This record gives sequence, structure tokens and C-alpha cells, in this order.
Amino acid sequence: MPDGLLALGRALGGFLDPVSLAYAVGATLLGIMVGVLPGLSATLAISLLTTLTIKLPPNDAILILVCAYVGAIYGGSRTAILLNIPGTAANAAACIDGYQLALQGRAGRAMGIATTGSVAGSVLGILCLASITPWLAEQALSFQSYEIFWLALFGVLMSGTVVGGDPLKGWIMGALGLFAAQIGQDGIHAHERFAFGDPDLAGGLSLIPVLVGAFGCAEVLTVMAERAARPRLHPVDSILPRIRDVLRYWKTILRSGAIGVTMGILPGVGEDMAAWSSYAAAKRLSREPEGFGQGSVEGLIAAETGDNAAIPGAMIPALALGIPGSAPAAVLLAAMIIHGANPGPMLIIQQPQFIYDVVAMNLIATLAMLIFGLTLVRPMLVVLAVPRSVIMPIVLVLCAVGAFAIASRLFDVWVMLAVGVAGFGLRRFGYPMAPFVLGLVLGDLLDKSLRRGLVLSGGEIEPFFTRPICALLAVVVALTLALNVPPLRAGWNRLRGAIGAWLARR
Amino acid sequence: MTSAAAPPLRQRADLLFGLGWIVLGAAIAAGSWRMDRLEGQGVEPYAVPGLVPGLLGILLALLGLAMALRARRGPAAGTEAARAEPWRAALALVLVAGFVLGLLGRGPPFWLAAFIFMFLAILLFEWPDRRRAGTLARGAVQAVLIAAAASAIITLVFQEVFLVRLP
Repeated sequence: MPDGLLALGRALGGFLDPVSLAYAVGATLLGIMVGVLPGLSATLAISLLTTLTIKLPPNDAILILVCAYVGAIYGGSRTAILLNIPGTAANAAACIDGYQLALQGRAGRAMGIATTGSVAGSVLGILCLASITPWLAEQALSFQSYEIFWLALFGVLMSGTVVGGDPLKGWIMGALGLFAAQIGQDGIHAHERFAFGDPDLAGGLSLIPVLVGAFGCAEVLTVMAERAARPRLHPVDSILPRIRDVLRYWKTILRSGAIGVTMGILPGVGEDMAAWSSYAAAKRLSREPEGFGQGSVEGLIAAETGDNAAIPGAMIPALALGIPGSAPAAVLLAAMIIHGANPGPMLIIQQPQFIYDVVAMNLIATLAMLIFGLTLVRPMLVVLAVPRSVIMPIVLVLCAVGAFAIASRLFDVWVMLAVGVAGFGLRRFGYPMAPFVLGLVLGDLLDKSLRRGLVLSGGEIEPFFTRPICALLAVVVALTLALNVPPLRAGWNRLRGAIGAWLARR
Repeated sequence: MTSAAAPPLRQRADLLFGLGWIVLGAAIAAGSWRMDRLEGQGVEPYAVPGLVPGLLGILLALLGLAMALRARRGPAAGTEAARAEPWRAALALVLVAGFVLGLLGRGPPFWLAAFIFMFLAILLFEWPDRRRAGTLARGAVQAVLIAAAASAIITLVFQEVFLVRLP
């Protein structure tokens, strides 16, 4: 641990120059604004910034992305409280009690609570990031292709299960994402797959243009297609967080932080689920459960602690295993790879300092978030007053720039458009985008680990089921599938009922 | 649920989508099956490049099948209603596709292409509201100013500060 503290000190020292701090402050502010705007997600902010910061030194670039990530998830609570619209999907749980508080004329207090919860969640998450990542990475050194295959599959499957209302549609998007990652040269033999002789396709679909299409272009089209009413904002009272809230709800904060980090660590689950789970747990264990939904301070604190704790949580498996915990973390992972870091089990051996650099980045982002949360409430809300018919065309131009910037190929801009239009259509029928992103990021890993595992075992599939962690993951995958396919679930419920009846008789 | 003769729109969409996924999955699986097995390089049958895409194709087809079967049996759960207005959706698609396919890299410099797109998008989407309020001229002037400013800022910031090449 002293080694870790030293490394963290070094990392923090490295960021204490004016340029890095200016980047951090600017990126957090930008993230908060993106978060405040409904429709623009953390994933979009990170994808766009990845391309725009591609020429910066790696640590500055990743610092910007982490700050934007933290800022966006936090910023979304503003919109949730003031408009009852989650600024990002992660803030949906914050709408319930946050908006009620705003209706009661306590919007400022609600924002103070959200700031408290977000900062507390971030700090708890950062502690876990610093302590769990090195340990997990050590464990992961014993992982072979078999475990990695299951983890990749598990991540896509979980994302499909928890995001959106329909697991089947989530899985279909996950499968499409995994397939999209197969296009182009394969990772083992460099054989061209599904390129149809096209030199651009043979290079594969670059991640960033696809992401910008799925989260940017599709979103812009969706918002443009809807008639937007001008938002009416509630008056804002004092936004200073109260120490009393922290002291009174410390149990809720700790519990929500733990739940948030856990949800973050689980591959593919992410911030949305973290907020909902923390909220549900707080409601179940609260002394005043009847206040939930009526403007409960405890409920809002739980939701906002949970989603912000999930951010560092989602970086834990991304760094230690190369498997992202959430969709924004998937983009962050891709950006790290672009900038020459090599997240995964080998990271702890090759670049141990990088883990602490990321911890330091999270700390700086949290600090910036706290400062903006306490000072810049009213100016930031001006963003909400700008009509969406003005913002969306500008965002689309940025998307085009972002898709092009990565390799200066017009092909990438067309990919963005194609994915965006397809995403726009699919979203209207309830297909979520996050599993697609997870699939796209993990597709290559899944392909390589399955085939490498088979080569290692001489074509036997047995090790995929008999190694302890593999067996566990295989059971979880099978159960997840079984519980979400209606006929299989009916069978499961009958079995459970029978067991219950049998136990009751005993 | 409505009568069997007129299934809800969404349920029919699920059925059609399900069939579509089956076709796509089958096509992917077939393409993977026909892919070069690289036997000349001594690649074992269980490590061929088409293995994973093939499995994914089968998976996609199975998921499509599950979806189609579910749609036949009853209405789907948990799908959001589309709030889009058809004319807005069509206009958005035309503008965005026109910008990306018709303007970018087709001759006009980036700042001009971006300006044209943003001006048209802002003006046209606000048109009905502006006409009702009788502020069309003001709206047009505003659109020109916003589009010009945004185009100039984006071009300058990315070219000069972030050193990014523009399309």
C-alpha cells in the first residue's frame, strides 16, 4: 500500500501543472454541460473528445476524458431535478425524488444533495479503484483465454439484459455489435472478413466513428424528429450542500457507494443500474420508505451516490481485465488503447503507474465537479434555455468532425452516418445502443480468446466449462439467458415454486 | 390487447424485425461458412476465421426467432412509444444525409459546408413556430448569425487549437 500511495502521489504531482489543470477544469465543465443537455450522453462526450484530443499527450488526453465522464454523469442530475428529464440515462433514478423536491420549491437543496451524493460516491469509488484494481489485476494474471472469453460474453450479455426494457432486443444489439467488430482483418490470421473486396471495409470499422454514429448522430436525429417544448425551470434556492444530510444519511451513502461500485465492476452493467439498485436498496432499508417518490432526500442521495460511484467502479475491470464495466467506460478503454496504454491483465506488470494515474485523474475530476457544483449552478442552467433546434445541428457538425479526425478518411464519416441512421431507426423500436457498444469493443477480444482457447486445448471445449471461474461465469450466463426468455422463465418459476412448496412441507 | 385481426403496430414490427434478424443471421452464418478456412496455412478447423462470425450469425438468427415467436404469441413488453413527427424525422434525415454525403468532401470547404447545413437545419426546424409567431425574418437572420459563428468557431478551434484535419 505505501507503494500505491507513492505512485498516487507521483501521479497527482504529474497533473499539477497549469495546462493539465486547465484541461481538467474545461473538460469537467464541458462534461457537465453535455450531461445537463438531455439526449447528449456521457458516451457521446467521451467519443467526441477522444477524437478531438488525439494529438495531445496521452495522460492529458485521458485526463480530459475522465473529467468529461465524471462531469456528464453529475451534470445529468441537474436536468433530472429541474425538468424531470434525466440528462443522461444514469440520472433517471434521480428524477423521482429530485423533481419532487423541485416542485416543493427546494430545487437548490436537491442540487446540493446531488452534489453531496455525487462527490461521496466518486470518493468511495476512487478508494475502491485504487485498492481493488491492483488486486484484481494480480488475480487476472492467472486468467487464460477461457476466462477472458466468458468475461467478454458476460459483459455484452449483462449490458443487453439491464439496459432498456427488453433483454431480447438488448441481446440482439449486443450480437450485432460483436458481429460489427468481426468486419475487417481478423485478429489472429489477418484474414479479411466481410469486406467484399472493399479496401476501406478491410481495415475494419473504426470504433470511434461507429460510436459517434450510435450515440451522436442517432441522438441528433431522434431529438430533431421530436417537437421540443421550451423547458420551464423551477426557481433555485440555496445550493450549498448541508453537512447534516451527510451525517444523517451516512449509512445510505456508504451502502449506495458499495452498490454503485459493484454495479460498475460487473461488466456491462454500468451507471444506470447502479443508480436504480442503490435507490431500491435505500427504499427497502429506509426508516421512512413512504417518503420515497415524494421528495425524499435519502432517495436522491442514494441515486446520485450510486451512479457516480459506478464511474470509478466501471474503470476497475477496464483497467484490470480489459473488459469495460459500462458503455462510457468501453469508450474510455478504447481511447486508452489508442493512446498506447494496454489495459488488461498485463497492465499491472507493464505500466503499473498508469493505474494510479487514472486514480489521480478521477480525484481531480471529482474536485472540479465539486467546485462547479458549488459555484456555477445558474450559469450552467443557461444551457438548458438554448433551443434544441440550435444545439443539435452544431452537435452533428461536431460528430462529423470527430468521425473524420481519427484517420482523415471520409469513409469514417459515412460509417457514422450509416450507423446513426440505423441507430435512429432501431431506437424508435426500442433497441438500446449500449449493448452494441459493448459488443463492438469486446468483439475482437471474444473472437481471439475463443479461438486461442480452442487452439490451446486442441479443439476441446471442456476447459471453457471445467475451470472454476469459467464454470461460474458459464452458469451465470446460462441463468441470465434462461431467466429472460419467457418459456424458460416459466419453467424456472415452476421449479422454484416446487422447491418452495417442498421446503414449506418439511 | 386488440383483436387478433389487427395486432398492435409494435407487435407486428417485432414480428417483422424478428424475421429480418433471422435472415441477417442466416446470411452472416452462410458467409462465414463459405469463408476461406486457410487450410493451406495449416489452420485447424476449430480456429478458422469464420468461426466466431458464424456462431454470432446463428445466435442472431436464434434471437430473431425468439422475438418472432414472442410477437406471434402476445404483445411485447417495455417498448417506448415513438414521439417523433414524420415530417421532422424525414427532414432531419434529408438534411443530415445531404450534409454528409452531398457536401463534405465534395468541393465546398468545410466551413461553408458546415454553415449551409447548420443554417438550413436551424431555419427549417423552427419554421412552423416562427411562421405562427410572425418572426420568420428574424429567425432567418438569427440562423445566419448562429450558423456563421458556430462554423467559424468549430473550424478555428479544431484546425488551430486541436490540430485536427477537417473533412
